[in-house]
Amino acid sequence: MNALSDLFSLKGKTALVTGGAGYLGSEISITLAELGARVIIASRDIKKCKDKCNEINKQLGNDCDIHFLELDLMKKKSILHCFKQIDLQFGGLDILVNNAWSGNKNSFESITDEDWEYDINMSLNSVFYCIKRALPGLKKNKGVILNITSMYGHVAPDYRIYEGTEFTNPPSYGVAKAGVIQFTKYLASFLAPDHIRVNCLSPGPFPHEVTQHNQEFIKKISSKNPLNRIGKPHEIKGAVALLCTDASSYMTGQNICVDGGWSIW
Amino acid sequence: MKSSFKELFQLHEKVAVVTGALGILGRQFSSGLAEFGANVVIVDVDEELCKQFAKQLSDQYKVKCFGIGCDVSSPQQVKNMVKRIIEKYKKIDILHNNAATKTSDLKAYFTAFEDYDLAQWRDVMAVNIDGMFLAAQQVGKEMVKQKKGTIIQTSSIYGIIAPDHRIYEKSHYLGTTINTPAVYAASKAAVWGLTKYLATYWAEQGIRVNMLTPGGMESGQNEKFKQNYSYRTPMARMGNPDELVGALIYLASDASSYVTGQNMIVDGGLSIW
Repeated sequence: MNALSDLFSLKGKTALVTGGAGYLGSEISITLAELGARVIIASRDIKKCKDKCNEINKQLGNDCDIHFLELDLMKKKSILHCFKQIDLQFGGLDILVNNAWSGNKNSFESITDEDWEYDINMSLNSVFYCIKRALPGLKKNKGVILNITSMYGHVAPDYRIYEGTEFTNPPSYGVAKAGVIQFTKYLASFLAPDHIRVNCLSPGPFPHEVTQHNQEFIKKISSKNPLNRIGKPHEIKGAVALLCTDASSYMTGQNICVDGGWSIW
Repeated sequence: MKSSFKELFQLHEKVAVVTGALGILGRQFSSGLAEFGANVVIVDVDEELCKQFAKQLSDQYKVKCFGIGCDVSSPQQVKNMVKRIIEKYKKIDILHNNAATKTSDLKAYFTAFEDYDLAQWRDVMAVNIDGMFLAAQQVGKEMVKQKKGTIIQTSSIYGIIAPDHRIYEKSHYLGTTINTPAVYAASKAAVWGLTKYLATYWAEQGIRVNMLTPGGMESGQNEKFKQNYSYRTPMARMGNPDELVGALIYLASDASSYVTGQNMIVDGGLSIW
């Protein structure tokens, strides 16, 4: 067995975090960099990625090995190009974190066919595309896949909490995330012979800073979970560290909930 | 499978044993099984009351019900109970493992976790889980001989999810303050383990084992509690015990002939959000 201190080490590993400059994505990128991995942050907003790299560099010191690449998950060409670049530049991945998300505000009534298709493409299909492209490298490196899902992939929203707010919970979001949770289990089984572990992490209420300005809403979502508060972004770091390192070498196909207990009652 | 789908839910000539049959849910379960044509064996602690209820069902539904007094926590009493049923009916088709207890000491039962008495804990476990083990063991032996049978075990939503303890503030049940004691949750979660275990253990013997999980059922809680509980539930109300009967008949009949090791949750959506 590894010494306990080495269990969480990612020295010599290369990780891609899609949407790695976002609200939770940043925490994931920092976590992996802190553990010694070479981290590639990828999204459509290349400037945002670059700024995040600089910020993490500043925060962790210049010896951290952090890069950025352009990746538009709605364009297969872009996905292909990004993974080709990763193969050329870094010799494939050890860790793939599928974290990126974007979508429109909708309810079941308001959602159009186009928005539905966009959300499913963005949150479900892109995960399939990325894993498919990353697979040769992951196989070679006996890698790890971490899918960021959501509690809304396994519990239904209480729509009363959105009443009188501008916030919504589109049906496509939970559907896509439920798909990813099942896909995680499928792949965990299918890729086990290749020594690739696949897990997912389901965050509970982690509203963006802007959303947090609506105190009434925050009070309502807080009371929906036993800990009676929203999550702070850094609170997903531990689960990310566990699932991306050898500390979880016997875990695969699991859905780790970081949700203040939301789904236990 | 029977040839007609209408017949799928029929329980004519079936012998169904219901433990805890005199309880609020047990009475509904027994009535439902009898209405679908089963000869129901009413099992509860007081034999005289069991007989009365059995007679009532026999008259009402033109079936042959039978009442037996049995404390399911006693191995000997469970053995005798099964022996008497086999003597009378020669077979058991359906076992509904349903008995649970708050014991006779409600104060001890609702005591705060920090002060909970081990003897009280064991008294509850003796019925809620030991009782299911004993009944499944004795009835199961007969079902193995028959190469056929279906077992349904009553769990609770609090065997699956945790209670929101805030809803018990100012809540009363039959005049006393209430909560969900840990022993209840632990014993009901254990039922799930036993259910799945037996489902695979006896699958080849033609015995199906499933679980029925009720949410909060209206049975004498005060308005405050009903309000609190309803707010927690997507359907915004407590359940009625008769709303469990459909799921029970499904699990008890050939309608579920390919279903085993499953949990049927009847909770108005409580556990989905």
